[in-house]
Amino acid sequence: MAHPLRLLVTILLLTSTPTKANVVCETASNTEKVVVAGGSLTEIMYFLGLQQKIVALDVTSSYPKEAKKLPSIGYVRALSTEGVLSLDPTLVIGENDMGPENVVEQIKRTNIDLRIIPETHSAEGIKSKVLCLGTIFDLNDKTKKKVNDELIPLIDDLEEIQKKNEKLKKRILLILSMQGTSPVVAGLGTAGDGFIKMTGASNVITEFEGWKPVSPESLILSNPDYILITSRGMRSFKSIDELVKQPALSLTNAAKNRNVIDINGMAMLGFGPRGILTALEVARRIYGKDS
Amino acid sequence: MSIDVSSVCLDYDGSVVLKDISLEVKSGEILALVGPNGAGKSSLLNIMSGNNKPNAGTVKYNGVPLDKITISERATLRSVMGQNAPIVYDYTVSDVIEMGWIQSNLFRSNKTKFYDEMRDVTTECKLAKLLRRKFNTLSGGEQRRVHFARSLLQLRNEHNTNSQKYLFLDEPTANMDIYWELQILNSARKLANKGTGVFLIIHDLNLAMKFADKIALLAKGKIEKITRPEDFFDKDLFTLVYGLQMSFDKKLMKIFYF
Amino acid sequence: MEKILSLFNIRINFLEGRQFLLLIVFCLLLIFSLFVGVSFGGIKANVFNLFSFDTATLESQVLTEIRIPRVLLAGFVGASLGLAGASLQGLFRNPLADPGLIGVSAGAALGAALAIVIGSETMGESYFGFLLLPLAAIIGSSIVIFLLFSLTRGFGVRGVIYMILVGIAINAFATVGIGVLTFISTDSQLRGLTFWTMGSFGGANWNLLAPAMILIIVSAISLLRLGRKLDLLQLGEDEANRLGVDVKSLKLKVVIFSAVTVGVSVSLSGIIGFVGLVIPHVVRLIGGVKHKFVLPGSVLLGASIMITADLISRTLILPAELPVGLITSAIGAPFFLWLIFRIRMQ
Repeated sequence: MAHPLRLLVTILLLTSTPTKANVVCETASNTEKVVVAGGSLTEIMYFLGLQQKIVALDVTSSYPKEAKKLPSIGYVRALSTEGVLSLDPTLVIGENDMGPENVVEQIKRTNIDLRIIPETHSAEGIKSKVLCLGTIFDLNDKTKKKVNDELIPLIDDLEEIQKKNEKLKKRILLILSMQGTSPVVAGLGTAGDGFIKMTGASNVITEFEGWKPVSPESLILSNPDYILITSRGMRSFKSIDELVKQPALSLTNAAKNRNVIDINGMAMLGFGPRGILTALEVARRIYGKDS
Repeated sequence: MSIDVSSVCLDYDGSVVLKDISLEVKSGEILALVGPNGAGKSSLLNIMSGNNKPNAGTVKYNGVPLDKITISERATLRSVMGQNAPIVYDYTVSDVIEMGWIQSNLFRSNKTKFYDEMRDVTTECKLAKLLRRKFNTLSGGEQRRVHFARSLLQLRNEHNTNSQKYLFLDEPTANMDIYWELQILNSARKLANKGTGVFLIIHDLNLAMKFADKIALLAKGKIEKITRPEDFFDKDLFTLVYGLQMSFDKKLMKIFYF
Repeated sequence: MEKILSLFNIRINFLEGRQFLLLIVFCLLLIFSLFVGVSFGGIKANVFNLFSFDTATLESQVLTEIRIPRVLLAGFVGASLGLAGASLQGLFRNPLADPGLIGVSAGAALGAALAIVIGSETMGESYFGFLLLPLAAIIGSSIVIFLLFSLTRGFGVRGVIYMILVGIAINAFATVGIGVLTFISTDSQLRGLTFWTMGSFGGANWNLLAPAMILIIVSAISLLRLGRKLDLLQLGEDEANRLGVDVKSLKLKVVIFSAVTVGVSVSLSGIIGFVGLVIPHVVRLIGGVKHKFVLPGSVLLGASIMITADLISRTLILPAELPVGLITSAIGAPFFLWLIFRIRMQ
């Protein structure tokens, strides 16, 4: 519940001059009560051992499991201004899908420390996010150590695999879910596209942007070597056998060779620390045991 | 003062509905329009009331062409008891009768006058006991009496004198028991005696004979005859028009068709 | 003095004393809802402190910049949908008419979606952009109403089922349209689009609210004056004409002003269903069917209910928020079923 005195200290007139342009990763003055809007950011908080500071998080913050016990601010694109304010946060961190616009504006205008952490859908991007949060929470040394010990080796491994298979790039189709008999797949610019590139493979889809359903004919033409599918998407089928028999997929190389990998959606698309490990596992499966 | 119908013609979908109709509804007179089904009686009423435009011919109210009279003015000159559609919402009988009260921009409504007129009309139509009932729960005949009361109320406005106003009745006796058949026609007669002109569409020849000052016979879109009741009967014409053998008792002023 | 009294006289003409009293009760209910709506929320705030001169506290900021605009928006949208529903039910002589059911809201949403996806290409972030959306929504809802009108002309009371079928077709068409736009949209446009199906008052701010309130007030006043004529229309178009009603003009006015209020509401808060359907019927059940009572009653009760629904939506699962459309549907859907049974019985 809001404590009037503390609020008086942290809130200025709305009609005052606009907030100082915060450099996003600048160290925050008060990190006691943090609201997190973004699954990958929650993951990073746990990764850096900062979880006790979290007062509430959004519904995509499902990893690690303990996170689900914390109070929820709802869907990241449909936040409630008063809901967030009622938590009396000292810091709000989110990604650029925070919404609606009006709510983000209103939160900014109350001069609460709001940081939108940039996302690039790449391994480097994940590293930057971790380092950014490290700076925000003034944990530079510990963070750098963790990054060096746990993330950089994985990133190096990934780069090695990519270099080794430069010429034999495998082509991947990433399915989010099924819309009837048409799979909804990752086009250019999506988190899925970024994940595929992280594994060192190439995206079979190059003609459109965004997540879109595709027709069987176009899939046969593109003919992926591997199919990645989210666990949720996999629930539409009883088994891999059923999936490979789908008319939309059955004639592809991937289906013929049963090259189907089903992975937790947030692990693939959340772009938190475990994303790198996930990419590495997929890369190893695709390119065999060469690395 | 009268409604003057002059050479009115109406076509619909290529066929002729009304051909060269001319008649006059004079103040203080009841003009009855009789004829077989499909003769065009209701179509003629719709043209005379202003709901429809004829293809040719004119309709004048008290010397003024109908198309020069605005919609709200028309409502002060004439009212219609027609074949009414069902009412969707649960209005009370009182609500429905009230709908006949014309509120004009020229006059500010006087509440006491309204209550007086309502009481009058309700009493005349013996609807006092039904006022609080929901209209939709009434029988067909009762509902028609309510519409009749409404059309009477509409005529009780101060915009025109009685002899400038007209009442249209489209088969008022349909769905009525014999008591109410006579009551309604008696009311119409009383109204006419006060100066109002009445245009009465009715299928019962004898009721027309009894109550009307003039009777017009409409068959296949043409007026075959307009006369006073005494001179109305024409054995051969009626057989042709109605397909029935009829006879006439001059003393009783009754037409027999069975 | 005489003039004021006689003005008062006219106001309660054709309105029973009882109905007038009920309207006063509705007014009080609305004032109460406003008070409760503004007093409760995520942040503890005391309304009475507003009247002190200290504007620096979070309390007064939350009240004036966040909560009051939101509660006002909810009230205006609730009033609009209630009034549009009552007016359309009167115009179409159909108790099942509702801006949502007959596709009017969907038309507004389609217009808004077009503005979001295509408009942003051409107009970008210009000053016009801010007006483009509500305007497109209004045009969308108007087109639908005109379509409904010409497709059901002459069916009158018999056309109850027919009108719903036409509404379903229009809803489907609008859904397809929005689906296509969703498909071709970029990610940020998509964000705006998904908003429409849920309905929320979270987007309330004074910039949008002020012109919206003016438009709604003007349209509402015009519609409220048509009460008597809508009553007369229940006797049928011919009969209403005979009673002095210019039916064409009446139809036009109801269509246009309903479209404006629904269009403005949808553009600011997305699609919120069932309010336009349920509120007029509740008002009729409470006090009678005369439009001079039902129209203002729907305005007042619609506003109160919507403010209450919004209050529930933003406090039930704090710190998260429920889409307000969920709550209105949860109450409205069973009521709708009951309504259909009731009509079947007759």
